[in-house]
Amino acid sequence: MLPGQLRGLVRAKQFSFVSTRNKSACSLVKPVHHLVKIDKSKLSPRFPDLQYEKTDIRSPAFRPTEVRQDRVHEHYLNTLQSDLLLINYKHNDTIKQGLSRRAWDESSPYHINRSSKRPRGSKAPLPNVHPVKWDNIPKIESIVINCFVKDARDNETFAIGAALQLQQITGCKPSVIYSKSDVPTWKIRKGNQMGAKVELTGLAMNQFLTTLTEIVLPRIREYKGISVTSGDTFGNIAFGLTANDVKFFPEIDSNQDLWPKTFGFHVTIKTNAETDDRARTLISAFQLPFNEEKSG
Amino acid sequence: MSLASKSVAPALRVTMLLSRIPLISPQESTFEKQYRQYQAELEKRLMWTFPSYYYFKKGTLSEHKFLSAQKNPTVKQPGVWYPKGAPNLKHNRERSMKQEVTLPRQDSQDDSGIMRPIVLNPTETEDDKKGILTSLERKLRNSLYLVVKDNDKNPWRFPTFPTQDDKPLHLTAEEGLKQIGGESINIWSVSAKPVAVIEDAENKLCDFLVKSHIVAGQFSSTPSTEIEHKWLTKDELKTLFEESYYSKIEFLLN
Amino acid sequence: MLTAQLSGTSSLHRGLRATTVLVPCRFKRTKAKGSALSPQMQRVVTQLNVMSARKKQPTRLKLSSEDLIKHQTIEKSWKVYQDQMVTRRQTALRKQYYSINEAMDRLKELSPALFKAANVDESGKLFPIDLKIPTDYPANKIWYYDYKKTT
Repeated sequence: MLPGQLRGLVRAKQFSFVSTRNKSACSLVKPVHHLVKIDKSKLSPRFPDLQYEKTDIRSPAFRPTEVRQDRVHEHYLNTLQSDLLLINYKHNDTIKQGLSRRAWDESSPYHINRSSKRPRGSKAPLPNVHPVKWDNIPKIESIVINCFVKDARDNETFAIGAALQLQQITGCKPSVIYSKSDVPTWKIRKGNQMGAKVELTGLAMNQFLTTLTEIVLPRIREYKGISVTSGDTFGNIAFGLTANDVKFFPEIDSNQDLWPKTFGFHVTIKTNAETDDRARTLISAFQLPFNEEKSG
Repeated sequence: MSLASKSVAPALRVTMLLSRIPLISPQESTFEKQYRQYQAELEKRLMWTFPSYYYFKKGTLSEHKFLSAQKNPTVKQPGVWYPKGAPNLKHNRERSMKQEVTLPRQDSQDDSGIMRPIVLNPTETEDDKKGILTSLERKLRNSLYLVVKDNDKNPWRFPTFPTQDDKPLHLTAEEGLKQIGGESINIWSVSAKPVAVIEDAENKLCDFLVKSHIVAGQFSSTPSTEIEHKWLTKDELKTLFEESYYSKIEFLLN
Repeated sequence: MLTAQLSGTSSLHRGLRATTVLVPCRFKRTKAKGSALSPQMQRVVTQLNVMSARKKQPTRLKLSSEDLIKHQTIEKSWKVYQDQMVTRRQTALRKQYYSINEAMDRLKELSPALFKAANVDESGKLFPIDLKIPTDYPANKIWYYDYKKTT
């Protein structure tokens, strides 16, 4: 019998009577409706203002975005975009296919409905890398500042201080981060407040970036720059600032008596560059220094 | 005929598109300015109340100074009719309006040295007023491009040099520029790749354009070579070049 | 520390409830003993106050239908303007891309050696740190003229 015919038979059998008749009390198919989160406030007719998008002025969450000229973005549009297009140009370049999951060859009836094999040499599928053209020139999409305070396991007021510090530096509302699991060796218990994080986009992001490159980093003594090995291979570059470095932010520096204790944090620059090399070229255009020694 | 013209290989040259990037952000149009002002006013109206208790400790002199500098909003009095709606105060802020926070003025006697008023530099420089086209300190809002002229007969052009065997185009251009303009110039070539090609079929010439930026220093033509130079904006290049040439490079300029 | 304070107050409440059960009368409002916060805790409370929206939010915008239409017109015109700008920039960039492509093709045709020198992998190339982001107003020293070549 041909595999295709076999497949048709087995599938028909499986769905027509085997699974449903023998097990009356439980469903093998996971219910889809439990996976879809329903925002009940949207269903109720009592709060019509909640139906509007956040960009609509009638929404309670409305916040204007274009409040002043953004010199960093203007620089990107005027100068950097065309330079990045030229630097990243490769002659006759094509899409570099990422690893994808592999299908079974259907030599056995047990292959039917079995989930596909993971890609060779990787746990998860990897995205394709596209050649840089006029419509996908690398750009910074957002900056995530993650402030994990280890000492917050003993004193949870530190997490509050860390959140306020991020709010003062960025001017955006931070969200709390919690410990994800119990780790007895590190004395961490699940669900404790361990710090704060904030994701910046647009004007706030560019403001943070210029503060960092023009005020903070030049004042750090013997700052070597971001390691050239930093990066998650998909074009997101991260680096850290220590508690002492944070004191150079003007918001902290001018209120030193309010900040007896500061908290270091990690800064992740998210880009659409697809590879780390492209992301590095992009980020260096905003005057972030790189440490070109491989060991650093 | 076309076959015959193709058979003679054109002379390869490399043209350097050397630019000084803008030093200050571009001029906003009236519409942009007005829209951003509107958005900024909306933002101020929707902003949370300034938590002055955090920055000025209770009972200190700085708090007293700050509070006395603020304009106090009207408080609701019983039996009074307010034509624009009754005051709605919280934390000394009228909630239906934007909050205006005024910083206390610094005393001129004791600490004038610490807080000097910030004076903004004019966006139009001396060289703009005098109209010195060879200066790099002009038209700060625009990109400037270097054009040169080696004698009276030739027209103004971007600096152009013949290519060398298998030396990368951008290195040839950098070297050539330093020969005519001195060593005291720091230029950064964007890439080894040419950004455009301009062919002159009559004279059998093929110019490859490479892009670079001037980072520091200046182009100083030596008296022996007698090369004139100018730093011009896109609009000025349009009047300088003939239409057929300008249309080929227009999209490269900003 | 915070939890300790909270549990302290809850035990206080429990005590009060007990007294109300025993003596059914109006009880005097007195200052609870030990409720004054330590300076450290006071600082934390202030920090929380700074971040919280409580008592800080202005009233919501109430636009008349005329104002709303005005606002929507402004937003729409901005969007149209932005779309025009994006299209203009994209057109220029597309032209640049094809221009690079054409130049590389022509170079390959005319001089394979020069093409090989130009078609090098430039991934990871860094911009010079002195190429500054433009500012809103010019610096005191506008241009750095005295550059000396260092070898």
